[in-house]
Amino acid sequence: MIKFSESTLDNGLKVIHHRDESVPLVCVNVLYDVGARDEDEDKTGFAHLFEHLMFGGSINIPNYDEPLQKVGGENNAFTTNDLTNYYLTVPYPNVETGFWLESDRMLSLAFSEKSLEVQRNVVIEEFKQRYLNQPYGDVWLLMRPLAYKHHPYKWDTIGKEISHIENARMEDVKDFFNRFYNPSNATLVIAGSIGFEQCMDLARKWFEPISPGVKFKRVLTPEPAQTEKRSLKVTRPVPVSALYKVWHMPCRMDPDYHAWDLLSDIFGRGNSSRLQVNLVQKKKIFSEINMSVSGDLDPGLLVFSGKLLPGISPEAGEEALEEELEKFRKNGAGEQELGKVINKAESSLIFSEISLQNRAFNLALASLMGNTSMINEEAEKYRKVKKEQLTDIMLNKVVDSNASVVYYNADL
Amino acid sequence: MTTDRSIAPPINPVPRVKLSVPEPLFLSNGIPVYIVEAGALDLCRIELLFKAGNTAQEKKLTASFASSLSDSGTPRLNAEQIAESIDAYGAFLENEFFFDYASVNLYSLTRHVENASRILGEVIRDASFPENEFEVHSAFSRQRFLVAMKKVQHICSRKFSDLLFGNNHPYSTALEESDFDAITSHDVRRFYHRFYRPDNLMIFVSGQPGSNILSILEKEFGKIAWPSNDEKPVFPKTLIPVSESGKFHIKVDDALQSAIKIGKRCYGRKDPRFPLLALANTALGGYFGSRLMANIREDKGYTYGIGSGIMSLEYDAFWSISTEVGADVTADALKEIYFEIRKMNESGLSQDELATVKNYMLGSFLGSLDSPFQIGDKVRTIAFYGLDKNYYEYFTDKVSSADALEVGRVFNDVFSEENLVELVVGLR
Repeated sequence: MIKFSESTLDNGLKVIHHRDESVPLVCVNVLYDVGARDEDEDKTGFAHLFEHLMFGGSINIPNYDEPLQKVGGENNAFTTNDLTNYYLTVPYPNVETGFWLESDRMLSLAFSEKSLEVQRNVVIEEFKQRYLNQPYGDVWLLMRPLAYKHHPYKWDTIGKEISHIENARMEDVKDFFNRFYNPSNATLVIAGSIGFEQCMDLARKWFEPISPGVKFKRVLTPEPAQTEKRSLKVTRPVPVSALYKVWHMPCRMDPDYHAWDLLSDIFGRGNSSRLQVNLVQKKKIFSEINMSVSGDLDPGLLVFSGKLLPGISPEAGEEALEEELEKFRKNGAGEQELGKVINKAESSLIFSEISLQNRAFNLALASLMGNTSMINEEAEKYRKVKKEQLTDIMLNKVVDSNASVVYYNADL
Repeated sequence: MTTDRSIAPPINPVPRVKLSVPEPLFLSNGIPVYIVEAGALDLCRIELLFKAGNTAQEKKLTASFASSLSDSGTPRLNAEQIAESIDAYGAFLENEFFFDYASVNLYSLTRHVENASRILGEVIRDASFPENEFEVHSAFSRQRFLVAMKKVQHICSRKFSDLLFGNNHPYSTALEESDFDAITSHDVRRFYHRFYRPDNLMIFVSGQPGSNILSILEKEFGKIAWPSNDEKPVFPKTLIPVSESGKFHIKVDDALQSAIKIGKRCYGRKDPRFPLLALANTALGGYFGSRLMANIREDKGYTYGIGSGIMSLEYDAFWSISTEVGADVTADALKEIYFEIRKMNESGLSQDELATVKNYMLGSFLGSLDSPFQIGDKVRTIAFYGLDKNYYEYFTDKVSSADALEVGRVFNDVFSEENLVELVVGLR
C-alpha cells in the first residue's frame, strides 16, 4: 500500500506527495503529458530530441546538471510513445535545489543554438548505437509501420529516420515547448524524506508563479481494426534467424488489460511458461523466447519474439508457435496455471515498490491515467481475471487476422 | 515577493549514513550467514554465494555453465518442475555470475520464505545437470555469443580484457566459438561437485526475512547432509597477468560506430589510496558532468555516452574508459580523450570541481543505499573480499576530506599515458 496525498496548485499543476524516510533523499519527478505519439509525421523523434534539450540550460540557469551535482544530486529522463518523464534525487537538506531546477525549466528554456546542434548529433549517435549498429536493432523500425497504419505508434520514439532529427530547427523547439511544457500539462511527484507542509510550501514558491499555459488536447485517429494478417520478410547480416509476431490489444486502462498481461505471462514468463517449456526445452525450435504486453496508453500490442535454432526457418517457428496458441484456444488455461501467474504478478508488484524512484514514477503514471489511487488497486485487478476471459481473448483477438509478423532471416 | 531565480538555493552538507554491517552468524556446519534487516516491505532476498567464478575454473565456460544450470534439475525435479514450484510461491530464482564468485539468489515474499527455501535447498544440494538442459543451455549461450560478437562494443570489451590479462587469465573474457564445442556436461558436473559445497559457501540475507530465518537456513543448508566429495576447492595464491600495452585496432568495415576502450591495470579497494582513485576517476569520466562527457558528448556530440570506471577484483583491478563514437569521428574522439587525460595530469582539479565531485559522490552513495538489496550488496562486498567492517565509512571520509594535491598525485600515478592499452573496434 503506497500512501500519498494529492493537491493542485492555482496554475493547474498537479502535485503528489509521498513520504518515506528510510533514506535521507528526496525524489523529484516531473512527468509531461507528451510523447512520440504527439509528433507530426514529418518531424518524428522530436519528443525525444526535446528531452535532451531540456538539459541544455533554462531561462535563469545556464547549466542544469552542474548545480545539481554540486548539492549531491543525480538525474535522468526518458521518453516513450506516450509521455516524457524527468526525475532527480537529492539529499533532503538540498531539496530546494531540485525545486529550483525543475521549475525553471518548466518556466522557460534558454533555447541555445549550440545545445540544439550538439544534441542533434548526440541523438543521431544514439540512433546508430541502439538501432542501426546493433543486430536486430531495426526490428521495431520495421514492425511499427506494419502493425499501425494510422496511429502515430507507427513510428518509434527515436524517430522514423535520421533526417527528421537532422532537420530539427530552433522554431520547432520553441513551438514544442509552448505547446507541451506548462503546468497544466504536467504532474509533479515529490517522494522521500520530506513532510507534506514543506513539500507544498516549496511547490507553491517555485512552481505556482509559472503561468498555466493551455492544456494540450490530444486528438488522434484511432487505429482501424485490422482485418487480415500482415507480414514482412527481411534478410540481415545476423548470425541467427528470428521471428517477431504481434497482435493488437487494448490500452493500459482497459478492463481487459490485466488479462492480456497474464496471458503473456502464461506463454512467455520464466522457465515454467508454456513456450519456454515446449518450444525451447522440449521441441528445441527456439533458443530463446519472450512474450510481453506493450502497456501503452492507447491500444497497444501483445508481442512475441524468438530466436531460432540453426536450420529452422522463421516460418517453421511461427507454425510451432501457432500450435501452442491453438492448444490454448481449445483447452484454455489450467486453474493452477492461472493461480501461478497471478501470484507472480502480485509479488512483482510488491518487489517493484522497493525503489523510491519507481514509486514516484508509478504515482505520476497513475495520475496521468486518470486516477492516482489505481496504484494500489493493481493486485486486485490481477486476482479478478477469469479463465474464460483468457480463452475469449485467445479465440477472438490473438488470431492471425489481427497479427503482424516480421520474418527476420539470418544471412552472414 | 518575487523569487530571484538566478540565485541558487544555499548548498547544505550531504548527510552521512553509517552502513551497519552485521556480524556473521554460523550454521552448525560453519557456513557464515549475514543478515541485513532493512526496508519496510515484507520481502527478502537469500543469496547463496559460492566461490565458483572464473577464478575457480580450469576450462573456459565451466564456471558460467555451472552457475546458469545450477537450478536446472535434481534427481527428483526437472527444470520445469523447479520453475513451477518456485513460481507457485510468486518467488524468483536468479543466477548471478561474476569473475570471483557465482551466486544463486532467491527473492521471496516473507510469508513464502520457508517454502521457497525448501525448494532452493533441494535444488542446490542435489543439482544433477540433466543432459537435455545442458544441451538447451549450450545452444542458447552459443547463439547469444554469436549475436553479441556482431556488436563492436562487445568485441571490444572481450578483447580488451584479453590485452590486459592474457588469454589464460581468468579475468580475460575472450572466447572462441570452439570453446562451446569443448565444454561437456561432465566438466560442469565435476566443477559443481568441487565448488558448490558448504565449505565454499557464504549466505547473505537482506530485507525482512522473518524471525525464524536462521532455523530455516540451518535446516536446508546446515544440519542436512550435502553430497560428499574429496576433491577440495583450490584457488591460486596469486595470478600473474600477461599484459600488453600500446594501440590495437580490430577493423569492422561496415561499422557505423567504433567502440573504444582505453585503460590499464591499477590498484583496488584494499589499497588505502583507492577512494582517491575513485574520486579522480569520477572527475574524469565517472558521472554526467565529467570532463569526458562534457567534452566528447556535450561539446562535440561525437557520442551518445562516454564513461570511465574501475573494476576492483580479488586478484587484480583495472581502470578503463569506454565509448562508442560515430565511425567518421573516431580519430577526433581519440584525440579529445587523450587531451582530457593530459590536461588532468598537468593541471589537476580546481577547488570548485573537487567540491562538486565530492558532493556528487556522497549523494550517489546515499542513493546506493535506497533498497535493502543494495545494502546487502555492500555487505557482500565487505564480507567476500575481506574488507574492513568500516570500509564504506573510510571510503566516504577519505572522499570528503581529499585535497586537490593528493588527487593529482594519484592521477599522475595511475592515469599517465605510460603503459596504456588502447583498443578500437570499427574504423579508425
